[in-house]
Amino acid sequence: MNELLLDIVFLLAAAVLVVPLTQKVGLGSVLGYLIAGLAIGPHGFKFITATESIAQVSELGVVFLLFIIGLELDPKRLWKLRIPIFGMGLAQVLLVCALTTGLGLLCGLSWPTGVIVGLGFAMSSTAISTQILKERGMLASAGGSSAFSILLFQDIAVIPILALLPWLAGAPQPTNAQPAWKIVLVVAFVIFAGHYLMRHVFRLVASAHLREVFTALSLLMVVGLAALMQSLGVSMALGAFLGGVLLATSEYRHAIETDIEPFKGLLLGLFFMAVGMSVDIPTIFLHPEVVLGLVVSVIVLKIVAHALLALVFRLGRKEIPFFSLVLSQVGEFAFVLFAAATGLGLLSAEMGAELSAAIAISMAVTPLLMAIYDRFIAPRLARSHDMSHEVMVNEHPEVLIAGFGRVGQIIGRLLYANRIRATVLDHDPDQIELVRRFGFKVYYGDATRLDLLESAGAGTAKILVVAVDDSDASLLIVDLAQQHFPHLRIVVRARNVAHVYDLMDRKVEIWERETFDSSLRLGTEVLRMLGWAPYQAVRAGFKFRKHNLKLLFEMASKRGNQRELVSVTKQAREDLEKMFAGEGEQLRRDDEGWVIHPEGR
Amino acid sequence: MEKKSFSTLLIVAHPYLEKSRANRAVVQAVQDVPRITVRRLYDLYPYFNLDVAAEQELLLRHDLIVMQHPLYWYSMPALLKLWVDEVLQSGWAYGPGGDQLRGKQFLLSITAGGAKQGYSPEGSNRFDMETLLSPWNQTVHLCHMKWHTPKILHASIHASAEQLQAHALDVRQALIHFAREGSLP
Repeated sequence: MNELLLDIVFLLAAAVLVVPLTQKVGLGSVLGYLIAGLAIGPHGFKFITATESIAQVSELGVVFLLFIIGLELDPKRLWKLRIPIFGMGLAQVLLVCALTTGLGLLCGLSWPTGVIVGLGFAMSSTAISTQILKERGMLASAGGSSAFSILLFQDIAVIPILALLPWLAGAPQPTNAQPAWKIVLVVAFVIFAGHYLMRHVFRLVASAHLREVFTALSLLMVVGLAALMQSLGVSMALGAFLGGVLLATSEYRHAIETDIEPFKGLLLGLFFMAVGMSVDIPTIFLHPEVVLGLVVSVIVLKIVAHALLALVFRLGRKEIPFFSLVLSQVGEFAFVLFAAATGLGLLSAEMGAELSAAIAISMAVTPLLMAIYDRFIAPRLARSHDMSHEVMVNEHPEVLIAGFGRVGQIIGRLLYANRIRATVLDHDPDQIELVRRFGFKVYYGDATRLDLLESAGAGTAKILVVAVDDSDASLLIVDLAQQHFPHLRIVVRARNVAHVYDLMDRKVEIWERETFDSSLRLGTEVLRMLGWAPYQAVRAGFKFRKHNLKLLFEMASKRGNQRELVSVTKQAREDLEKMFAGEGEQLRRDDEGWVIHPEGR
Repeated sequence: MEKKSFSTLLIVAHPYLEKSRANRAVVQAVQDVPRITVRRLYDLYPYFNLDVAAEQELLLRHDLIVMQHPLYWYSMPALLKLWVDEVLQSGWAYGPGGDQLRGKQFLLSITAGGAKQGYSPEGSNRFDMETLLSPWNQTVHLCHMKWHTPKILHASIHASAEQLQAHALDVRQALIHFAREGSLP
């Protein structure tokens, strides 16, 4: 146990010390984790020597990442992207593989070895590339989504490639993979369960109102799926991705994402540290020119291949540099492939080690390449102002509505009828269930949580409607919004006068007392029934409203002193009396001033 | 043989009809005109939320349209103006394909606070009534309706009860004539 604790301490310490440094210097967090891992690993200062277990746990980082990606995906969009995925993706793998095999033959490698190396080299790092794309918000651009489609295809391709290996080795070897029919059955079950069962399970857990249990369920889903897929010999990450996609349309999406995100962050960091630890320094220094040569040639080869692809698939000249660079590294799946290949005798142990080193170094190079892109290439492209990258999907709502009760629903429906799709948050699963049946997209979540507001899009939205029924929660949300999203315009449902005063203190400008106008309408009807002409009754209502509001503001400025002395209820009664007295007076005065138009006009 | 009778739609637009003497007198007087529909605009739409479809439907169903209103600032009360703006739509009342009101009769019946003499180039209002009512005139013309000489009650503020009654009965008489003959006297 001591060993494990010590390992954890070293890992955390390394992360905490190194990553902020590399981030500050502009080299990004990924490189920081890689360096941290290298430093504390068996080839560095040897703080950690048993890397096996760490590597296994760190794989979960990629799993979680893919889960979140699946969660944020729109299945419709996935289907829409089937051409880039199977068109461009396939082309990329084949092209890189072909080029590498050709190069390998020139260097005297056998063609099976060349193909293996080529397939491995074709893989790009999902973790690194997606991180880069997400950081820059480029997932929706033409280049970004093409890159992502290629990565998706690579994920899918790993399975047949692994199956291909024994055939290349020339002898039938037992593999980990289960028979195909079993896999299909399990995947079908997962899809069925995900679509029909999970929603009810989540709702059940959510209605217990115990947040940590909900978090546990989310984690259980991800890790459980990963375990299931691993037992079938299928890529864990792909299974997690599938799970994420299944939940992408669920109302619990934002809440799950919010819960999983911190785990993903840490585990992914751990993954990169594990990669850093695996960089075999002695081997590199044995034949430094081999490893260096591999790194240079694979990166150059991939950049060229990708640039060719970009031209053929007509991505647009602006997109070519970024697209070619972002996928230029060799990915984590290559580790898996080369390990399997070495096990089958297709690669010598020495070669396997050199390749692994090359992979790790190529990963480390990517952030540097990105830095070069940012400093030299991007400014040049930005100069000629061409909005050629169309944003494919608008994930960012203009309006957030917190609370979908009677008030939120009216607002939501008004917007909906005018084709404005607000993102709605509510924390009552039964309410959500009810409303969903009428076709509304409501997300489960507690809007007083900053991270939930963040993941629902508060950072990019224009307007936040606070329509929750609890005034304390309402004020909390207002505070959070003003503090963290100062650009957001806030519209608030006010429970009562006390709530209004609290909102005024916070300089909220747009609020409405939830029952005021409806009550006034009813009162106007009563006047009508008593014989008033309708227009008179309505105008009386307008007058009342105007003076009421004026009194409200007057009392707001005066209340500070008296509140300490008088109890709240007494104050409220006094306020009301004042209001009536003030109102009667005003109306009489106005009544006299109002007369039918004098002669001649 | 039963003679065909003609229908009348009378729209009265007065924000305080219960406080009015002249306009109320007319509205009360025409209650027994055959096939008349009286609509009090400010009662129907106190929030100014016109139901355009309903208004158009009513127009279609009647042969004579009568507008009864006080002259406010040489024009009509605001709600009636909104009615004109929103109900008389292009493609429905006027313009290409706007034929729905063609052939209908239109009678303007107004009350004015000022005396008749004031409504002349030499008078305090500087313009005569015909000029001041030309917007209505042209509106009716553009909607392919037949414009009739307006019924005008002058000096409504100081008019005596008898004078008001006389004017109201005059309007009533004209409408009864229309109901029978399909034309105005």
